[in-house]
Amino acid sequence: MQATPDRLIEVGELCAANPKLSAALSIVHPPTVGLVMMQVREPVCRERFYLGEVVVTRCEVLIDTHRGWAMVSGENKEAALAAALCDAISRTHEPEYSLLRENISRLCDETTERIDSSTRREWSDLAPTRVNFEEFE
Amino acid sequence: MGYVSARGGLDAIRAAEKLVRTKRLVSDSNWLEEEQILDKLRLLVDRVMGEAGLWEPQLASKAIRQSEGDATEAVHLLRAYRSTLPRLTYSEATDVDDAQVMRRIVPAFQRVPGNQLLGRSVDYTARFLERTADADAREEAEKLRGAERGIVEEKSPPAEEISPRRLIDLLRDMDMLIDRRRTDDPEPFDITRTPARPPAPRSALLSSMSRADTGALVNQWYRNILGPDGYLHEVTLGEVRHATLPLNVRHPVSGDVVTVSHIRVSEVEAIEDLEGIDEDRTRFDVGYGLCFGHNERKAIAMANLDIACHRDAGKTQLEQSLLLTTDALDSAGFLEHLKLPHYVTFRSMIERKLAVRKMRSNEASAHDGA
Repeated sequence: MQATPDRLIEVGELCAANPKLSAALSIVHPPTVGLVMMQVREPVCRERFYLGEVVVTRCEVLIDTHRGWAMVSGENKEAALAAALCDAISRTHEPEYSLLRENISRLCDETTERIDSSTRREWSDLAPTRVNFEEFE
Repeated sequence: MGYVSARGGLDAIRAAEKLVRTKRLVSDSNWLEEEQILDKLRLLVDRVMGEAGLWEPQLASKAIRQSEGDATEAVHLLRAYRSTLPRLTYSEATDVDDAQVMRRIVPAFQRVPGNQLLGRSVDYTARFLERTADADAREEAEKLRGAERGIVEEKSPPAEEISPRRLIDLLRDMDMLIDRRRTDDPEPFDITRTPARPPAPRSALLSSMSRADTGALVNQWYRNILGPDGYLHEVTLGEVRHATLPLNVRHPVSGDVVTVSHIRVSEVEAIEDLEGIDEDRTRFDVGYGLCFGHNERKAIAMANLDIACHRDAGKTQLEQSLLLTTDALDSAGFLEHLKLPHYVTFRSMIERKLAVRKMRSNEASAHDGA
């Protein structure tokens, strides 16, 4: 769900082009833009409170008996539908979908690597700002 | 409320609206791209999202452009948009200890678990207005871009630095902290469903301050610490962080907790030196602040007001003031409605004054006659 929208849509389109899938697919909940209330637990009293709302797009599909559900950040109905398709396909075992499952698995790996690489890049900027102030003697 | 509706004026209203729209859209300068607003005015985008209580950077940048840079108007636009959207779910409770820092300083303590990281900050820099010519600035930007491309070594951040242990954990280890940790886990108060009124649970106060107007909260803090409330106290900050938090929801099919995205937050812990007669003067207490985006000023005010409110325990109007007067849309909405026609209200005020005059004149005549 954290893949870039472009890549999600690309893999989603690949899924939708599968002839077996198009016959087996039904949309349970069409892509809907809505809000998630973000809940946090603070460290002083270990209490929960609501920080604010986040705009997301949610979608749910069914491929034969396999439910696929997804929620992506922001307003992006195409990406939410694509992510729900990927989620449903990743739960299938049929050989007709094996190529798609491989594509989805690659997308997951690629997303993990993108996030890790971005963290590393950011850290290389941050590390020189480590500070150790000294006290006046 | 004094406002009485007026009729008419529709053509003038449409012409005024058209004037705003035309002047905004038609100009000799370049079209202002959303990406530019996101990139170059990031702190304004963060502030607007925080005060709207809505995280969506793209929409916030649209709102800033539409409002011509008026932050309160942009908050109004986002809140109006938000009211059209369904609430799909509540997230799983994200433990703030899962945050990954991009900046972390501990003003109270030199040697803390993990390092201190200044991050992206001008806190220690003298402020000079840059008057560099555009061409020179562009040239500098190109050089910096080249230097960035040159960075090859990318290391993973050490866990103890990217998610460092908190100063309050250290103070707890030293038995220097009042332990207010709860075990009953009460359901949070949702201020978007029910207006919070004092006495309100702390979760309502924290939510209200998280989406409060930055200026209003800073003003409340300043008044509280230096003003007439009798709360002149020492302030020391524990953690000041700019960090990312995961937005986690439960997958309805697998039942697993999945991360939808990451949200940037500012987080502050304010350490309070207890000196009240009924307080444990051998220990400290702590206030907490957390808000969307990079807005340390707001998080610092919030943390100090959280502990001030706890110590106040309803003795003054502090809680009421925080809950009822710090929302940007509430206060600006009430203020701005004063610009709408109040002809009937004001006419009735004039009539009352004339009636008083007449009554006094009649009384004087009667007195003279007697």
